[in-house]
Amino acid sequence: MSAIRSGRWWLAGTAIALACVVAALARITPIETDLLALLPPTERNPVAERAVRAMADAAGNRAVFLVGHATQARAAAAAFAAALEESRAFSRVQLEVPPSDPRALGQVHREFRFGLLSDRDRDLLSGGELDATQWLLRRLNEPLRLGLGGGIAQDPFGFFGNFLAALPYRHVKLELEDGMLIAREADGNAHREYVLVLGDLPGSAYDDAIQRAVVAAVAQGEQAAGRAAAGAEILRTGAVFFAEAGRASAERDVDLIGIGSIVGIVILMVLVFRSLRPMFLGLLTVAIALAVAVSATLLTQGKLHVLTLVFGASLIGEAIDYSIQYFGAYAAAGRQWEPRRGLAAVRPGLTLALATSVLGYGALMLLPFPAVREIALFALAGLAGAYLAVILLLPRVLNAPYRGDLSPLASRMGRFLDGWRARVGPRQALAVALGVVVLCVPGWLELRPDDDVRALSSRPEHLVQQEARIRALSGVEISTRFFLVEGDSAEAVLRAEEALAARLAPLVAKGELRGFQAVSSFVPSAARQEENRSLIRRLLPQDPEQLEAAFQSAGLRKGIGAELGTSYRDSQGRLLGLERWLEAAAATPFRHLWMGRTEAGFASVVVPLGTPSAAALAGAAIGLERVVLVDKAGSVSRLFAQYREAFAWGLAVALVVVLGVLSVRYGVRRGGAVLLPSVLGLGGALALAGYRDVPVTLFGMMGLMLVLGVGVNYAIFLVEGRLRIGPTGIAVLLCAATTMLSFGLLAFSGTPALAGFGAMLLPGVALAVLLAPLAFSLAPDGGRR
Amino acid sequence: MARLSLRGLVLAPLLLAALPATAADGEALARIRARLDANPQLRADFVQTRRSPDLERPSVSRGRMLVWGREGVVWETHQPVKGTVALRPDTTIVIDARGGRTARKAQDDAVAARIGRVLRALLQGDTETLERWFRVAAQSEGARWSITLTPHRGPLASFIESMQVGGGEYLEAVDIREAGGESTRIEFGNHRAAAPLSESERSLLGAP
Repeated sequence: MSAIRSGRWWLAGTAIALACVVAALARITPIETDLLALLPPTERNPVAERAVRAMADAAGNRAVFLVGHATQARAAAAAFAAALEESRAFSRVQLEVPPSDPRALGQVHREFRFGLLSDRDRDLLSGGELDATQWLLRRLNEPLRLGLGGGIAQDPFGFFGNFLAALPYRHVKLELEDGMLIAREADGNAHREYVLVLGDLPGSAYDDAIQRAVVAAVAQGEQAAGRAAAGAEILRTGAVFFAEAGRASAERDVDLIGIGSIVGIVILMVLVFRSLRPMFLGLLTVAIALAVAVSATLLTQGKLHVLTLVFGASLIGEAIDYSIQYFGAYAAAGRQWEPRRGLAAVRPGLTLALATSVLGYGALMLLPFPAVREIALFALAGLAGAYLAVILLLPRVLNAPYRGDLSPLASRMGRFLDGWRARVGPRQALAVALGVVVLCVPGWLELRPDDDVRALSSRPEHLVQQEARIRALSGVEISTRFFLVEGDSAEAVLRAEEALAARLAPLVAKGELRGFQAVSSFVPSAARQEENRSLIRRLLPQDPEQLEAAFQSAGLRKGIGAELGTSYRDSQGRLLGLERWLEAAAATPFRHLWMGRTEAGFASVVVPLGTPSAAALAGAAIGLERVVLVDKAGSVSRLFAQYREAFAWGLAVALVVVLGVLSVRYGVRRGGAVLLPSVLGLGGALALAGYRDVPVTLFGMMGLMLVLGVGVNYAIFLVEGRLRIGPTGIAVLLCAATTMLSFGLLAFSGTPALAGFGAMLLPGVALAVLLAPLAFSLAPDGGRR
Repeated sequence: MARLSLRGLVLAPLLLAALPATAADGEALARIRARLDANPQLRADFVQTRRSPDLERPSVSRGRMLVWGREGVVWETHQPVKGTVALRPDTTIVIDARGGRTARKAQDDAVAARIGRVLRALLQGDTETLERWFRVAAQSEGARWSITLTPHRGPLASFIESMQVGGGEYLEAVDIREAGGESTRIEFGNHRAAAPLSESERSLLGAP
């Protein structure tokens, strides 16, 4: 007796200890919050995938802030930046921009200016506008004139000034004042100022420690800014904030689903078995399952993605089912319990259940989505762990016979189901089914799909809004669409960029595009520079005296013509090289556009600005060799759409196949009756989505697949177990309850993909189990032919 | 912004139209503003003279200017080259000698946007904006008045040393001294009523 007692406490202790270990594992495990790591490779070109990564990193490794205030934005920004600096969460905090002469912007270009022309000037020159005097007079008298190019002597025709003015800097709305970069927003008649503060991260935005430090530092900064100027507003964006929000949301989810399903399971087990032992042992198998799942995923992937972590929490409900089956046999055996015989009775069923799960999750592993594959691997390992724990462990620790009694509960359930069978005939059952369908129709009409890739990450509304505000205020674009330009040499890449730029220019003129960022805007290809030089030479009269005369007729000081001729000749053969520009400070905001040497030669990225249509962008690259539009979000969304449709067809095919299998056993009519509750569950879940205006996603379709899978089982169990209807009913309810507790709780996840999965599954399974008695109303004799 | 004559052109007439009185020079500004408020729409001929160490003789251009209330300003150069610039709060339109027309939305072009903002600020009497870029000082003596604008520390200061705007009943002259030693003087004369607008002016200003 005391041995049993101490054994029980030992078991309880082990279970709790293991559960703690699992919980701790989940906390200290390297958690991946980078969405990109879970997206499938969509580009055929490996360089394109690398470019996607590089672009994400260029934007991801810094945090961007705008500190806003009506009158004291600068003071608030200074306090904010000081607090960030003090926190040491950033490797560098930039508030003050080093005071620089704006004319220094073009310093690297100046000595190569004879090879540099704006598109407009080149068009005019090559269109035959070759009267030097006219160019001079225009430049001298034009009212709207930016003298960026330097004085009249250096830039008499204004070509260099025009070239600099056309550089893509002008899209940025920030202005340098008081050494800070300032954006402004009209606020009625007044203006609100925003000061730019940049923080460079000391490491990856997806590093847990960095995320926590940054968030804490920003909170302190916010307080400091508020002290300096009451009501100061801090707008923030950066991958680090989204990743941190994703982690926090996942942790909330894991707590909710983990605690929710464990508490639910404990209550259910204690209520049903009226004994602590099955409950503790059940939790032990769950703990083992999770430990196996986490270890297997870590061993193969090195990291656990937040998405897997959340989904993994819902594995609890599935793993417990194996031990529930075992305890069912244990409780049924009563005083005759003999572990080996009990195991023999349960093993075929367990093996079958594991086999179907392996098939199901194995099929998911064939999908090209790393996210889904990791989840499937996690689930497979976990279920295998649960299976082994039940087969190997439970018979060794569960020796004492069951002293409880399931019969009162079972007989109550039996009376209810018998009553149902007596009162609800085929006609009433059909009426119920028809009623459900009629209720569903308006919901179905509201259904709409959504394949946005952002469903995979939790994107809190406040961060999304702040990002949009920063974009609007600063004019700085954060684009996921870009052109990848490749070539055998750097020169070939620049030439290909120029061909692309010629295609994009009409889109800019039409207003479809705000502009574009390309390295070749700063460093034209050698061919283009030579061409520009020859255009300028055609403008300069060959005879130096003639040149001098033209200059003097426009009123220029004597000698300027000769100086110009000399410096033109001196610069012969000297072209601006890529390396030279890349080293310059002015290149900093654009350096990431140049990818340099790759396995396929050289590559660069051209970023379109504004919100052009996908068709217009794609059209610009058509026919250009080695220029492709890369739209990662678009590609993944298209892939989601394809698979969502494939799942819809798959669901239809599965319905037919299941009906076929059921017909073999029950005949077509009764097979249909067994299938009906699941079909109504599917229909009801879809209709509810329509009523709630929740879009149908790929993940919702996966949820529906599971509804079909478990829903059919419930009806089969009931029909097959009609002779022991009480205990069968209890078992079905218990299974449905654990499924809803685990997967169903995903409906409350902060990650749209998981919430979509849960939101389909929860009502679907609930409806399928509630309507399962319809099956034996329509197939009263159980259907055996 | 070395050739910031544009700013001169734009600022000056509008200054007259809508500079409210807030600064220490408030009283003078108020008087000037009251005088100029009487003519929110007007035409004038201009002569622009640019001087530079690189120029043997000043470069002189002539043309006419139209100020049309809040809609904007049209600057038409007739000599020695033809060209038109229309400055509207949200757009800058340039027409070259051969009639080629290019428009640039303020939101797509920070430079144009800044000028547009100065414009709007002036039109709406927003001295706050003006004082963001310039120190404003006003003098008034009898019927004559002048305003001196000196840029604050910042990028503008590396292009412009100071601007001076002056006149009597109307704006008469704008002087811009650039940091590089160049200077521009614009003199206005033959002030007259602006209405009616020609068809092309109407389209340039987007006026009804």
